[in-house]
Amino acid sequence: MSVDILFSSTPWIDGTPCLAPAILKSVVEHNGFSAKTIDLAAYVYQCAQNHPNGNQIQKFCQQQYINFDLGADKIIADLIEDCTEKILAHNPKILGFSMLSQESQFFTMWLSYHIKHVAPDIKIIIGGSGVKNFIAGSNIFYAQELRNLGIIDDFIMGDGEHAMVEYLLNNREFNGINTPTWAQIGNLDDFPFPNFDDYNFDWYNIKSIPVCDSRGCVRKCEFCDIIKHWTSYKYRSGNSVFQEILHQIDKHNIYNFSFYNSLTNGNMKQFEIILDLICDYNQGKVRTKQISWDGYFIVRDQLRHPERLWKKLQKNNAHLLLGVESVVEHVRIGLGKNFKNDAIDYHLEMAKKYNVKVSLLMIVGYPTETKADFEFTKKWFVERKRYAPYIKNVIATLAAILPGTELEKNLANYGVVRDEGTIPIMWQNEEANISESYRYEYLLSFRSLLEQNGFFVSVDDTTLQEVT
Amino acid sequence: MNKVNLSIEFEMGYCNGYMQCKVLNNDKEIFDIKNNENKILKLDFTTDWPTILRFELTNKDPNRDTAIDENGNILENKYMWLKKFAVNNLPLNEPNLYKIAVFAGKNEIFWDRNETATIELTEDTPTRWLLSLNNVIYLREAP
Repeated sequence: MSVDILFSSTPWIDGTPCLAPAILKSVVEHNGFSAKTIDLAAYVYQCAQNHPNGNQIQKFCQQQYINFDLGADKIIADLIEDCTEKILAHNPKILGFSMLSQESQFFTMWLSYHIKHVAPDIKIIIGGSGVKNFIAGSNIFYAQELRNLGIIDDFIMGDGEHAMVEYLLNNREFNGINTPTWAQIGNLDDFPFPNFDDYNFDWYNIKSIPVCDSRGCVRKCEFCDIIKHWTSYKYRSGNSVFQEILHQIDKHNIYNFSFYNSLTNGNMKQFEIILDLICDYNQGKVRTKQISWDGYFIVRDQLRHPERLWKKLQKNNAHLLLGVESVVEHVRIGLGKNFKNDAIDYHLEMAKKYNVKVSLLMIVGYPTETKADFEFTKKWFVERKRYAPYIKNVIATLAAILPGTELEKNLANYGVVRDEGTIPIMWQNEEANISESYRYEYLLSFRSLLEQNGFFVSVDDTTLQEVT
Repeated sequence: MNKVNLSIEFEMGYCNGYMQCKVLNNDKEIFDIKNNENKILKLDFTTDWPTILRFELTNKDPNRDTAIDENGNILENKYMWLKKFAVNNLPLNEPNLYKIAVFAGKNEIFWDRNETATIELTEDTPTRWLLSLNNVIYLREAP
């Protein structure tokens, strides 16, 4: 028995469930088509974890690097054939690959190529942020070239909920199908809840179900490319989000959720509705049966995040990913995060007081930062080492200049120069005498210093690989 | 499914005519190129995988079909130069053309003698073969 369409994620994603296949399955089934899903990204991640040379799988996915001394070509070929078998077992007429980021591009290309060889009658369509090299860039070379080569049949840009249904209805003229343009969805509450029935939650180290409560952002940070992709902030009603959470608990007996968004607290009214409903739900239950969640969270002043909010966050078992970016006030406000350092201190104090898990998202070496700012940043953390036990993670990323962002437009004003066509983290600030290697050394010393002071610091692997 | 589409492209050097070439696929003749009149020769065909392609080159007179000036510079030459080899539309990188083509016992893509060139398409699938050649494909243009 065949299905109309099989939706699959593609690696590399680090072992967390991919939301898009579950969203698309529910949407197309709601419109009368049969669909299955497979979270291949999670499967490949598990394969890599369990293989003695599993890092070769990650390197291939991220860089298309093949170490022949370790037999990586055979490891990858075996994996591609394994994934192909898993896909063909569902006998799909159409195969929809969901690409979360550009780290999905290499594996998607090779897997599609192989599937076209062994099952040429299956149509392959790709979609997701990874279809483009950069989400806000205008370049759709990857998708177009794959299509020209016959490795895929079609691609979808932007939100896929409407486009996918139109595709199945053979409407190839719909905006977003094989075009660089697309229209953002207006009402996110219009769709059925994501369907994870086909997901194997044993593939994930941490069992957590993703929830999309909003798209876009309320802020206009100059470094951010998400706001160029989803140009307006769209949010779901708190009641709908909570009903979805209950629905997934009922189906999967999983109580941990990850909000897939740019921020959970963009609309404070709807956010507080969710918080209140979860507080009520968690009341009187043992911890294992309480809802917990993680999500991005913008810092605001004390008036807007009063202590009563933190009491609710505590009862929600929330883990907040705070977009601090820089602790240098003028730098942070300049890039678009309009809050004072007092507000960061307030959030840390509240996190400590109410035992709310927080992680700090930090951009290391922002273009407007000086060497003196680097030293200030180090000092700032050392002076706050008392909070280290309450900060789950300091997530440090080298400043990247992404295509299409306001930052890219402002480079000349900041004295930043870079070679044409280079990767986003390669640039120099000539006025401040800060080179790539200086920022990289700073990143390492920053990490080392924080670790010495009790913080847990994580640095994106790809960042390190690109620099080294 | 072991059928593949191959697309092969040669630059043809002219000097008193073009090279002639019989193309054999697993010892069966699939092309007999005698009357080529173009500088570019394209061969597109479907074949089983794996297979061995043989290119038997003729019509080159070494005394007549390479024109040189008094300084030894070649003015005209009769040759076949392998420029493109694509399996199911996926092209090989230029360094890989040297890896796959054996002409007169050596890895060579410039064929200018009455000799035989062979290209072996090995491994179980094109995917395995291309990966074994480290035939990485970058589809990332600069932003």
